[in-house]
Parts: sequence; structure tokens; C-alpha cells
Amino acid sequence: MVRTSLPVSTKAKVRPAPHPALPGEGRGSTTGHVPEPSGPSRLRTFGRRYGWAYVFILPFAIFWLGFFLYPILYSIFLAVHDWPGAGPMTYVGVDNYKALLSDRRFWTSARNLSVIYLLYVPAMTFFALVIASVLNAGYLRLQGMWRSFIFVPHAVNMVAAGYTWRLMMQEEGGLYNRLLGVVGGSPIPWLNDPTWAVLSISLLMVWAWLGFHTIIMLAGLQTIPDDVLEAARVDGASATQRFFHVTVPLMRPVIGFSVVYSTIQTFKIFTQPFILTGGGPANATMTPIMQIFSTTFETLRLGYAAAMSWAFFGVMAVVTLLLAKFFVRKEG
Amino acid sequence: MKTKSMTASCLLLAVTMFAAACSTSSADGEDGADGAVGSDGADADASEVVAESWPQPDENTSGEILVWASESFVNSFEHNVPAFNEAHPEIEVTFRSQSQRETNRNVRLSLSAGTGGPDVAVIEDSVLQQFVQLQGLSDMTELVEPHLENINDYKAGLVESDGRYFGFPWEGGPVMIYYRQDLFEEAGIDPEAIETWDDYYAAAVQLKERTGVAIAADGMATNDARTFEKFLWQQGLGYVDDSGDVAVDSPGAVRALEFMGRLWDEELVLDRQQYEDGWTSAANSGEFATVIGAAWVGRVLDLFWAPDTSGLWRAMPLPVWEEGGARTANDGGSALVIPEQSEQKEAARAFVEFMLTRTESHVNIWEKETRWTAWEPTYDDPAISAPVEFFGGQPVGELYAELAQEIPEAGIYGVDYPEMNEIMAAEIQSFTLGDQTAEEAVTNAAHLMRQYTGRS
Repeated sequence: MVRTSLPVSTKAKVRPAPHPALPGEGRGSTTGHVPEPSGPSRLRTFGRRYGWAYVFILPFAIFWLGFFLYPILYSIFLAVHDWPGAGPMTYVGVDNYKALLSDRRFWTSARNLSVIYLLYVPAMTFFALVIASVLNAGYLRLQGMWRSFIFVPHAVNMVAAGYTWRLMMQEEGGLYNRLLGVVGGSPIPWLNDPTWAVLSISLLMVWAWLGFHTIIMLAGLQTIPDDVLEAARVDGASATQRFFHVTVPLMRPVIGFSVVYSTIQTFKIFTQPFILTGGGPANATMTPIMQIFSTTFETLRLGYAAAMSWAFFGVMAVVTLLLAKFFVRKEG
Repeated sequence: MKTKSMTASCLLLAVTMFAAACSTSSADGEDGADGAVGSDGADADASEVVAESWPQPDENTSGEILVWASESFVNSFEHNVPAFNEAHPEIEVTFRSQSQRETNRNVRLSLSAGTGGPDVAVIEDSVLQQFVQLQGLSDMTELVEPHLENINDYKAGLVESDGRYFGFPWEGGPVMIYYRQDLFEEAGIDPEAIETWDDYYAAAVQLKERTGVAIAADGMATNDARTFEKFLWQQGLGYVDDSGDVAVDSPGAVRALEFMGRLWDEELVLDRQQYEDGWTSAANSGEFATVIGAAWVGRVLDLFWAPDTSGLWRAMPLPVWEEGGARTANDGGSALVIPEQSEQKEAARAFVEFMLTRTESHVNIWEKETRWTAWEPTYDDPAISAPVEFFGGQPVGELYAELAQEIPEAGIYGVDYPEMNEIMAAEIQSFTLGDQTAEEAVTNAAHLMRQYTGRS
């Protein structure tokens, strides 16, 4: 048996680097040592030292305040009001949140999301790790080509890809069903059956994101020192054993990143179902973000949509934190 | 030297950006508080304010107006622009064409922001009441009221709220049956004999037996509820009744949905999402023989969907549900609106009146684009009776005119239409998947509509 009591030092202590000199710093002080000032002059020194830095981050800060922080805070305010987007607002307290509890469509969309999540994330993570391992192995030729090949879908615009997939997944005359017909299979209602539609969307997600996550995994694999694997081999571990008992544990933080990232991706899923199925058939692929989108822009109930966003954000934050906690957990 | 100019440019950049951010947020603030007060005031004494704000335009009226609409609407208007420029030489018209969905969204955003909108926009009847709810459209009562007798009766209600009119009705959507005359002949079906929907069903069976062709095509799991809405409209029913209460769970609605279900079950109707690729290619290759569609459907079949079948189609009134019932419905339609924020109201009024109250303008658009209007004086023009090649020389304009004046009023379009349509579509989809009966579908839909819209 191979023990995995390997020195995993992901948190090597790093000595804080000496403070790098800022442009303009020390200019005019020929002595090289300035006595520590106090009071207002201290503020002035601070300003002289870091003033430029603040000027440089100012444009971003303004954009961030105007286009990120302000809308976020505003949505908290919106969530306790009834408002169609213009005209008077009505204060409704927590009624919007209460209405969510009995909103059948919202719960349906949450359930759909869970199904897509459970189909997509484990499958995608597993395949990404396996493909990355294969790409990382020495015996594969044309590695660069395969890497680009697997990454290409990620570079394709999702809207364009979505429409193409929709055409290919048409029950009548779509490419997939025609190919199935050639090999003697019966046509599959890719988008016209509630179960298949969920599968099709998960499939498109895997296609679009597999390359990205494979590259992440590949980068992780390349940080695993050869001597560790070498030692395992010398100890008589088989390839499978090395994979599950050396590679996977060492990859834990990378896999963790990949899972957390794809969790957030899945929670935000919108484009794929919006284009492929429009949320149908019979709401089977309606997702919370689609619900928020249509509540905002189609039915103009902005307050309710804001409440939905916050409730949804809460769930997403909890799930993400739990996952992050699980993956960065220290080895016993 | 260098450092100084860099300091200056950095500061300038920062100030500009800060100013930009401030102006955005102050505009945002306005729509919450100030905007509300403003529109409340406008509501209270609407008539006086409006009376002042609509000066009569004449040939000296000047200004630059911006018109937002989808490309195909813009193309229609452009046929009349030369004449408009002659009548109003001082007015300059600029069009911005974007898809109708984008037009809706951008007009909504501009109403919300209180600035940045057009002077005139085309808005579809189906969503117009949402814009009225946002309180940013001009009250056009003074412009519309004198012309009401010239406009299809059903159109007025679509732009009206509390007795005031917020849009000038334009396009109409009388619904009829377009049928493939050659396929009917092959199957030995006499279109004249199809008077009721039961006759239509019998024709579907006969067509299937003799030619193997389906009578129509409509999506099952992809259903968009549009056919169902036409059936409701024909019966003068709707999602809501006259008093605004949810009324989709009516016997007439169950009857319509059961009828649709029977055609699908017996494979008389193909499962193709309406107007999408599979549907249009089937139409073009003759896989189904009829389309239950509005006047604009005939136009689009001709131009884009089924050009290969030109000359083979004919049009006829809808079969009735009961003897003496309406022989048509409505699907689609649009109006012109002038946002309250427009600073060129006089010129905007001149544009709307020139395009929509002048019969020649409508006739010109019909001749060039076969776009159907709700402006009734157009119907007397000889151009309406001209033979149409796509329909084998049938003067379909005459049928459109006859049906347009018979369209019943129905509770389909309104402030909650997008929501109700979405709910209904999902329930119909689950009906086609065999998860519920027609009666359950409309009952569930009614329940959800009440829950989401707060109606009784």
C-alpha cells in the first residue's frame, strides 16, 4: 500500500518582501532616513507617498462604485419595494421574500438547477481530470494540438454555439438525429422532452467548459513533482493507485478551485437554456437566473426580481463556502 | 514639465469620470422620486397639460425627430418620407432600426431613465399597456379621438387606459386560414364547405388519408400559446374578462385546447415550433396544408418562409366555433407612441399624423410592402383589391378588409400579457406531454395567473 503521508506544503511561509520603493519616494531627502512624523504632517507624508497610487486606482474605483456597488446596494432597497421600472415605488417590507416561499415557478427553477448541477459538475470535473492526466502523460503525441482542440469550444461565443446546437438538436432534420438515423437509431427528442432537454443543456455545458477546466487541471498536474510519483512507482504502486492516491490528493486544491468555479458557473446558467429551450418544455429547463431575467424585463416586477436575486445569492454563497471549506480542509 | 502635464491629464480624467458617474446616478435617482412626482402631476390634470402640449403642426413646423422601430417597419415608413419632407420641409426624420424586442427594451429603459429616448416609436399592441404603466408615454387622446371611427373597433381598447389614449393604432392582425389550394384539390376538399372547426377537423382527416399531408404545424413541447390565443380571441374570450379578472378557465378555452390536442393526437398537425426553422422548411416543402395566421403571416410566407410555393396558397375566413360566431381573431399589431420626454412633440405629432391619418400613406405602404393597417379608409382604395401573385391572383386585401372590421374584442393583450403568455405556454406544453388534461391546464394556468398578477 502506498501511504499518502507526503509533505504537502501548499502554505509555505513566505517572508514579507521589503517594501518596494514608490516613484517619487524619498525624493528630496538626501539623508535617506526621515524621522517618523506625527499628526497632520504624517497625513501629508502618506499623501506624498501613496497619493499617486490612489490617483491611478481612482478611475477603477469610480466605475466600481457607480456600476457595481451602487446597483448592488440599490437592489437591497428595491427588494423591499414594488416597482415596474418607472413611476412611484410602493414599500412592501418583506412581502417579496414571503411571496418567494410559495412561488411554484421559482422552486421549479431551483429544482431544475439542482438537477443540472448534479449532472454537470461531477461529470465535468471527472472528465477534465482524466483528460488532463492523459494530456499530461508523456506517451501522447501532438500534445499542443490536443490541448488547443479541447480548449477551442471555450473560446466560441456561447450565443453562436447555442444556436448551432439548437439546430443540430432539432428532433426533425437535426444533425444528431440524422446521424442516429444513419446508424439505425431512433430519433431522440433532444429539446422536446423534459428529461432530454435537461441532459442536452448539461451536455452543452460540458462541451463549453470542459476545455477550460482541463487546462486548469493540467496546470495543477504539472506542479506535481515527478519524484513523488517516481517514489510511488518504486514502492510498487500501479498507475491507477498512483492516480487515486498520489495525484488526486495532491490536486485537491486545484480540483477545489475547479469545482467552486463551475459551481458558480452553473448557478449563473442562463445563455444555454435561454437559447436552446427558452426554459421549456413545461418549465423543465427554467433556471433561477432566467426567472429573474424575465421577472425584470418581461413582467417588469423589479422589486420581486431583486428579492429573488438576493435569496438566490444567499443559497449560492452558502453552497460555495461549504465547498470551498471542504476542499481547503487540512489533511488530518 | 512632463510630470505637470501628466498630473493635469490624470486629474482631468478623474474629474470627467466622476462627473459621468454622478450624472448617471442622479438620473437614476430621478426616476425613483422626482419622476414619480412629475408623472403624478401629469396624471392629475392630464387634459389641460396635454391640450397645451399638442400645438397643431403646419408646414413651418421645424425640428429633428428620431424614430425607433424594427427594420421592416422603418422600410415601410421610408416609402412615405419623401412626401413627408415635401409637406414638412423643416422637419428632419432620422430612423434607428433595431429588432422590435430591442426597441421595446430600449424604449422601456429610456422611459425609466427619463431621458435618451426617441421622439416616436413603434410599440407592439401586445406589450403597449406595459409602457402605459411606466407612465412615460404622452397622452395622445387629442390626436386619436377624432379618428376613432376610421380605425378598426378592437384597436382602440389596446392603446386606451382610463379613457385616455397613449398610442396611435397602426397595424392590424386579422386572422384567417391560409391554405394550399393544390393540396386541397388533390384531397378533394372544398374550402367553401369548411364552415365550422368540426368541418376543418373532417378536412384534416380527409387530407391525411388521401395525401398523407398534415393540416397544419404547431409546436407541442415548444408551444408558445399563440394558436390558443387566436382561438380565445375568436371567441371574444381571453386571459381576463371585461372587469380584468382572470378568466382563462372558461369552457371556450377548454374547448379550444381540447381541439388542438385532438389534432396532435391523431397526428393531423405536425409537431414543429411555429415560425421556426423546422416549421418554415416544412411550409416551403409542402408538408402541411394550412396556416392559421394573421395578415402579416401571409406577407412573411411570401417574402421569407415559403417563397417556393408562390401561387399555390389561398386565404379564407376562419371556421366558426358556433353558428353566427366571429370568423376571425387578432394576432399581433402595433401602434405609434410619443414618449413624454420628447422635446419635439410638434414635429413628432406631424410625423404620426402624416403616416397614420393620411390614407395615401397607408395605401403606399400596402402597395410597396403589403403591410396591413387598421385605418379603414384604406380599404376602399382600389389597391386593396389588386390581385396578389403569391395567392394565385386572389385579391386577399379584400378578405383582410372584410375580416379586420369584424375582429372581436378580447382580454388577451394587456399589462400582464407577457407573464400570462409565459404561464399559459408552460401549461400547454405540459398538456401536450400528457401530464394533464386540457381542463387541468387552463385551471392551473388561471391559478398561477391569479397568484402572479394579484388579480382575482
